Amino acid sequence: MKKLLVILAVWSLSGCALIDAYMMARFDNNEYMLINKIRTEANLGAAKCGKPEVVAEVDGLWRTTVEFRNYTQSIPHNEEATKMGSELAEIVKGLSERYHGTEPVSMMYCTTKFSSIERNAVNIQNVIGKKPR
Amino acid sequence: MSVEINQALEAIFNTGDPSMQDLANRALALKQALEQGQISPGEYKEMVTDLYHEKNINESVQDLALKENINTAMTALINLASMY
Repeated sequence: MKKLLVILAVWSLSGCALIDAYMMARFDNNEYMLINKIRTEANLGAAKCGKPEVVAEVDGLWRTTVEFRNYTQSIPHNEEATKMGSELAEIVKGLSERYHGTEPVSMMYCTTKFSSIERNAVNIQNVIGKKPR
Repeated sequence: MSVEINQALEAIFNTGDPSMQDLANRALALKQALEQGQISPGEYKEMVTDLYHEKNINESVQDLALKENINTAMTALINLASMY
């Protein structure tokens, strides 16, 4: 009983942050699957830099990233994942626009972008994978 | 301009924050790639902007990780309390 009172006391002291954390969105298989797909597509896409097939890789990556961003947005109490999805989409959007533009794309740009997308996807995947079940 | 960039990067290196230092290192590498003609000015601008997006992602990752830890602790405390 005393412990319960301690918990209630702690809860009431910094209520919002604790309630926010307690109510946070749970682990979602689809959300995890989508970020894993982005990571994998970025990983495999880098090997296609400098080849004509890279455009198809970029298109697939852009589609999956938009899907991930849209999916996270409709889950309640999922603000961090939504923000991460939007920021990641901004990075991938640049890659997609450049490959559909008129200017030539340098090899270093291609490999650096895929590497950046993969690194960010790994970071996001690691934290999403630890969401409470 | 180059002196200003170097001063800004040096200030970031001095923060002692490993994730910020990593971003500064990559910003420096991009600047060198631009100077050596490996990337175009447009590509450089975009990839420097990406570093800003990456900083935001890292902040959200840390926020979510903190929430997860609080959630774990709260759940454990509530389970403990329910035993009495």
